[in-house]
Amino acid sequence: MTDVLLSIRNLCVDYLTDAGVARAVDDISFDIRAGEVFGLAGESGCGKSTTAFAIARLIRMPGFVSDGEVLFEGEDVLRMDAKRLRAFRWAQTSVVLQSAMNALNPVIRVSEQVCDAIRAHQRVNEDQARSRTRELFALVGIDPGRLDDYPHQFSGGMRQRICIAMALALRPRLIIMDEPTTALDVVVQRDIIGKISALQREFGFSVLFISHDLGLMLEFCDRIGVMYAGRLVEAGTARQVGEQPAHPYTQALLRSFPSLCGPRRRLQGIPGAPPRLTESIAGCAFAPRCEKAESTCLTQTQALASLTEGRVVACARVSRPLVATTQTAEVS
Amino acid sequence: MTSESALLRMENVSLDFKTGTWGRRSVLRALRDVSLSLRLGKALALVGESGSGKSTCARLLSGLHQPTAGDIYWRGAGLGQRKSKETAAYRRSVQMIFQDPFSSLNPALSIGYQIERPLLANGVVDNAADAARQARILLERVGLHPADETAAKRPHELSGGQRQRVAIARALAVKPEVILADEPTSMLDVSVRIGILNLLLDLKQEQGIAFLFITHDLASARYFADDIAVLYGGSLVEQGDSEAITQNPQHPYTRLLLNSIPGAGDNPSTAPAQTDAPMRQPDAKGCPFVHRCPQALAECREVMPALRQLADNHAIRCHLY
Ligand SMILES: Nc1ncnc2c1ncn2[C@@H]1O[C@H](COP(=O)(O)OP(=O)(O)OP(=O)(O)O)[C@@H](O)[C@H]1O
Ligand SMILES: Nc1ncnc2c1ncn2[C@@H]1O[C@H](COP(=O)(O)OP(=O)(O)OP(=O)(O)O)[C@@H](O)[C@H]1O
Ligand code: SF4
Ligand SMILES: [Mg+2]
Ligand SMILES: [Mg+2]
Repeated sequence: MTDVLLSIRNLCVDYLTDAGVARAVDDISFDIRAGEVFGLAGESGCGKSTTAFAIARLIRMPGFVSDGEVLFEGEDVLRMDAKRLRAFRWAQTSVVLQSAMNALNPVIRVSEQVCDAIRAHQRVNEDQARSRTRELFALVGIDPGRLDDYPHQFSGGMRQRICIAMALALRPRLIIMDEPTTALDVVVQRDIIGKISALQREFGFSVLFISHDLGLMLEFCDRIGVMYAGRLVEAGTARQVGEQPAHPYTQALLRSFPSLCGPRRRLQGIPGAPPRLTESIAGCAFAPRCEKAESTCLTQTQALASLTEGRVVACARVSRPLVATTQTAEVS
Repeated sequence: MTSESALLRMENVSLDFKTGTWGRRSVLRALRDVSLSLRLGKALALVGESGSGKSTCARLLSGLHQPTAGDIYWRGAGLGQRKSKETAAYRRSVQMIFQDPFSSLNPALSIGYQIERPLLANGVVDNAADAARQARILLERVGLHPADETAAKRPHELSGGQRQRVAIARALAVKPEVILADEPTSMLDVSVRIGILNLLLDLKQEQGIAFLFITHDLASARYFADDIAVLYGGSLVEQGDSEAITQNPQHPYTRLLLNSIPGAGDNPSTAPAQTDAPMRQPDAKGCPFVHRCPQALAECREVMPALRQLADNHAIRCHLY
C-alpha cells in the first residue's frame, strides 16, 4: 500500500528483570496509514505502552528493542542517528504519555511550558506563542484565564487536556496518545475526541490511540488491533472487531462490559491470569484461559492469518478453515 | 439519607482556591455547599465533569484540605475539633487511592516494601514474615500474579493499570473502614476492571467498608455503587439510588452525561462542552449549568436552585422541579 505512514514490522521489546528477560512486545506487525486513527486495545500489562514507547524510540534500559523495524515513510526510526531522531520527534510525531497527568513540570506555570514547546518547534515570537496557547486551551475546554496557574492547581483531567493541547500544538504527522482520556467524563471526552477528529480531517495526521475504552475506540478509530500478552491477536476495522470479534480473547473482553441498562448482575470477567512474560510460551498465550482451547492451542504457535480482506486473527479455532479455503498466507 | 449511620460525612462544605497570578489573582470556588455521607457497607459513586470538584471532595474527606465553610464529621464528631489520638485512628481508618498512579507510589521503593510498611506500622501484623506473606496475598487478590515477582519490582517496572492495582492493594492493607477511591480503575481494561470491582464489592459486603468511588464510567458506578452523586461546577446537582440516577435521570446535566455515552443513542441534547468551570467565583449566582442547559428558565440565571427531594432517595438541584 502506498499511503502507509508508519509500518511496524516484527517488533520485539524486552525488559531485563530480576526474574529474567521479559518479552513485553513479541513480534508485532501492523501499519498505520496516512490520515488514519489506529487503536490498540488489550489487557492491562499486555504491552500497549511499550509498543508506543518503541515507536517514539523512548524505550530506556532495562528495556530494549530486541528485533524488528519501525518504518516511518520507509525510514527506520530505530536506526536514525541523533540528528534525524530529533527532527523526527519534533516535526513528525508527538506523544501524549499515559502518565500525562504527571508529565508537566510542577514548578513551572503551564503557560510557560506550552509556549516553550511551541517556540521550540515553530518560529514564532512570545506573543504569538501565547495567543496560540490560548486558542489551544479553549480547544480542549480550559478557561484561558487560568493559563498562568501551576500544574497542581488543575484537576487530573485538566492536566491530561493540557498535554493533549501540547501534542496538537506542534501539528505533527503522527500523534501517539496513550490513554489520553482516562480522567475525562464522557461529555468532555467526546467533545475533545470530536475536535481531534476534525483537526485530523483538516490536517490529515495519523493517530495511534491506546485505550481500554472499547466504546470510545469503536467510535473514534478506523482500525483496531487487539493485543494479548505482548502479541497482536486480532486486527481489523473498528466495525469488524466491534461487531464480529473473531479472537476468543476479544470476544471475552466484549462480554465483560458492565451494562447501563437491563438487570444488574455479577459479571465474571475473564477467569485466570495472563502468563509470565519471562517464560517463553509455545502455543497461544491465551490458551490457558480460553474456553475454546483444544490441546493443540497449547503447543502450536498461532500466527496472524487473514480472515477476510484487511482482517487478521491469530487463533487456530478461527482461522484454520478460512485459511484453507482462501489460501491466504500469514500477514507480514 | 440518615446521617446517624454515616461513618464519614461532609456537611455544607465549601472550598475556595486561589488561582491566577499577580495582576489577575482570583478565587475559585471548587466546591459550593456540598453534603455527602459515606455509610457502613455502602458505596457512593461520585461522577461529574472534569474539574467539577470530585478529587477535591476526596481530599477534603481524607483531611488533605480544610473546608472554607462547613465541616467534616468522622463518626459523628466534627474534624475541626478532634484530639490527636482520635485523629490517628481516623487517619488509619480512612484510606485514599489517588487519581494518578504514576505519582502516588514511591519510585525508589519496591512494591512489596510499600505494602509491607503500612501493614507493620499500623500493627496489622507484628513481624516481617507475616507482612511479606500478607502483602503477597493482597497482590494476588488484585490480580498481580505472580505476587513474588511483582513484590520485587519498583513502580517504573509496572504498567499503568498494574500500578493502579498496587495502589488498591496498599489501601486495603491496613484494613480501613472507609476507602476514598479516586478513579481507581480508570486504566484497567474491562475484564480486569470487573475482577477489581468484584473484589471491592466483596469487601464492601463482607467487611462493611464504606466507599467513595470517583469515576467517569457510569456503567461501573451502577455496577459497584449503591448511590450516585453528580457534581457540576462544584455543586451537587443530583443524588440518589444508582438505579434512579442511571435509569431515570432528572437533572439536565445528568441526562446529557448519560446521553453522551458512546452507543447510548446519539445527539446529546445540549450544546457541547465549552470552556469549563463557568461561574466558579464565590459570588456567582444562579445554577452552575445555566450556560449549557437547554431548558433554562429566567430564574436559573439569578437563583441557585435548592436541593429538593424527588423521592425517598433521589434529590435534585434544578428549578424545573
Ligand atoms: N521497566 C520495566 N521493567 C520490567 N518490566 C516492565 C517495565 N516496564 C513495563 N514492564 C512490563 O511489561 C509489560 C507491558 O507493560 P506496558 O506498560 O507496555 O503495558 P500496557 O499494555 O501499557 O498496560 P496498561 O494498560 O496497564 O497501561 C507489563 O507486564 C509490565 O509489567
Ligand atoms: N490546589 C489547587 N489550587 C487551585 N485550584 C485547584 C486546586 N486543586 C483543584 N483546583 C481546582 O478546583 C477545581 C476542581 O478540581 P478537582 O481536582 O476536584 O476536579 P475533578 O472533579 O477531580 O476533575 P478530574 O475529573 O479532571 O480529575 C478545578 O477547577 C481545579 O483547577
Ligand atoms: S436549574 Fe435551570 S439551568 Fe439549571 S439545570 Fe435546571 S433548568 Fe437548567
Ligand atoms: Mg500502558
Ligand atoms: Mg480528579
